[in-house]
Amino acid sequence: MIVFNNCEFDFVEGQTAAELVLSMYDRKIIQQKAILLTINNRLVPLPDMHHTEIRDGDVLKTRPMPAGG
Amino acid sequence: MWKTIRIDSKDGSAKSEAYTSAYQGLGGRSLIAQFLTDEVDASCDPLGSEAKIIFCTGMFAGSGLACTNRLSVGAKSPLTGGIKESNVGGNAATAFASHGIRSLIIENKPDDNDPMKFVVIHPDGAVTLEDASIYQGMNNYEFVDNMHQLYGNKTSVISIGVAGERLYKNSSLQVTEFGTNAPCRAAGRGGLGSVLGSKGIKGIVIQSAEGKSSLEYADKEKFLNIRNELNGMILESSKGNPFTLIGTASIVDGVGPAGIMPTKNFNGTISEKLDNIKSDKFMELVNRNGKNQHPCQAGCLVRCSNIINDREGNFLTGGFEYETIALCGPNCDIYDYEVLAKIDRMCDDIGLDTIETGATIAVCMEAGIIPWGDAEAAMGLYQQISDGTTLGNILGQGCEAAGKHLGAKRIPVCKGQAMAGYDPRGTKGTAFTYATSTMGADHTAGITLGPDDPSDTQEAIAASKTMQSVFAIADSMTCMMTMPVLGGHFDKVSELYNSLYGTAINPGDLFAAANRTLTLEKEFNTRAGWKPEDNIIPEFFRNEPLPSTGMTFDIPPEVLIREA
Repeated sequence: MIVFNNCEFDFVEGQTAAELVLSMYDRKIIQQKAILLTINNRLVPLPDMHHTEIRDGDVLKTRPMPAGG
Repeated sequence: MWKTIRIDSKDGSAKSEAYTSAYQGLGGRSLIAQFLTDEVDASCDPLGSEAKIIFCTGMFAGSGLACTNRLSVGAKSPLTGGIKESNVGGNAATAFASHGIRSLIIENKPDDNDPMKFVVIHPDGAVTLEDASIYQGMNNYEFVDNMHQLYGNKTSVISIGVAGERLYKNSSLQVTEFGTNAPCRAAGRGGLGSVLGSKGIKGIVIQSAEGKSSLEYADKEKFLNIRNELNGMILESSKGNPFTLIGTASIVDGVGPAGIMPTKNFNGTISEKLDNIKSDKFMELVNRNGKNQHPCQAGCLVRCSNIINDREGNFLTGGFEYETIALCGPNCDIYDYEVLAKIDRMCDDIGLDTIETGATIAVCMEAGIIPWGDAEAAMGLYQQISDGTTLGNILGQGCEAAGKHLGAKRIPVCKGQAMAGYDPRGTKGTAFTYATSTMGADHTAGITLGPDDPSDTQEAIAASKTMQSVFAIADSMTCMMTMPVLGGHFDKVSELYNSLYGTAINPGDLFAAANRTLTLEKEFNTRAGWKPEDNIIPEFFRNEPLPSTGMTFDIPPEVLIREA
């Protein structure tokens, strides 16, 4: 099981952070794909999204990518 | 197909060069970093003959990808003493792209008594320098009117007002906007108007090319498919985007009540007059007889710009943005959109960075030069800057210099540049960017503001570093306003790049390139004399709690120094 934005979801073996974000977007759990993602309170560098694997028990949180004025 | 135009401001020559193959695939900020590294001694006088100023388009300019017709202006900044890339919309980059111009470089320096000149890029691609002596002392709107009379109403113009002519360190370059063709888009930060002024150049006039220059694609069909998909996403996203529906003025609604918008020289108190400048009031001003959802550049699908008319229906200003509102408004205890729109017009006309100048006026108010909230007196100071009075000349040197001259104790700057419209105590990651970025206190170097903006120091630093990379990518290829969409599709952006340039990069390579740009900038600044101990957030942000939250800025000084 993983926790994604305070909700529990089934853990999927071998899933990358990028794949998880896409999945959550497709399920309308998040509204945009441009996000900053923390796993267990550590920010995932954006270039690492495609090869960072999610582990069972991870706590993930997203925030929209900031944009200035 | 790309070319470089090189202008010698001393002998008046202009030549066209084939684009350096080593620069293939670079654009905007990344090209400026490489160019300044290769050609400019970082220790030079930024207003001297060794200094150069470069204008360049982004890596997707002219391709039809939304928001990619941005113009980057770069030079050694007379304000920060470091490298500066200032990014602006408007129609100049589109006109450059129509000529196949990727970069235009102005170098050397005329003799002191030489009359000013202006550059004309003619429809056939010829580049000439013309006598501008009759336009010296003229501000931007009048100069642009003259250029439109001479070269046609659709001509794009980059220009400086008297602030740039006087070599003020708070001077901007103004660029004519798509649609209105008014000089209301600003490459504001870093005092780059003065660098063009030091070259004796009043402006650059770009007539559209006779025959449109077409891009050479490695795989055109693939490019068009990805481009259309990304454009569709940007358009879809804009439908619920407050920056589209209202404009960047919508930021007031969030940061105002949170106490993050600067008030009374970053005092942080929340005024009971705040409601006067919330979004509904902004829309009242816009809807009176102007419009919003205006694209500042051809092909923009975000459309965060606007047209503000006076009560008689005459064009007053455009590109009336949050940063101007915050720094010239609440930061000076002014909460009146009618006044702020006039100040925006004045600054665009004189050629002043509204962030730097608004911060300077607030310091004047704190020093007792004029009363808090006195809009008429504030406009009088803007006029003094334009007129070049003794006080005006001091204020034109920027917030730090003016503050020191006036004996102010609270001067909100990093690396000599005034902070943007976000109090460091309310957005720790953005403050980290202010203190450590290669651009000084510049929110466009890596803002972290938004929902769940981290208050934990390590998380804030990580967010800042990530956003500094993201913005280095954005400033090289597009407008930062597209990143909430493109930032979720770096895989497609990479493919788009490959189908244009025939490369084989992946998202990681995009970030590696961004980090190379940041490294080049950092190395330039080190050679220019920046030191680790310059990474400072002013002490009053550490000692005075933000009234809304009780927070102070608490990233230890040694951490900021370590990050140099």
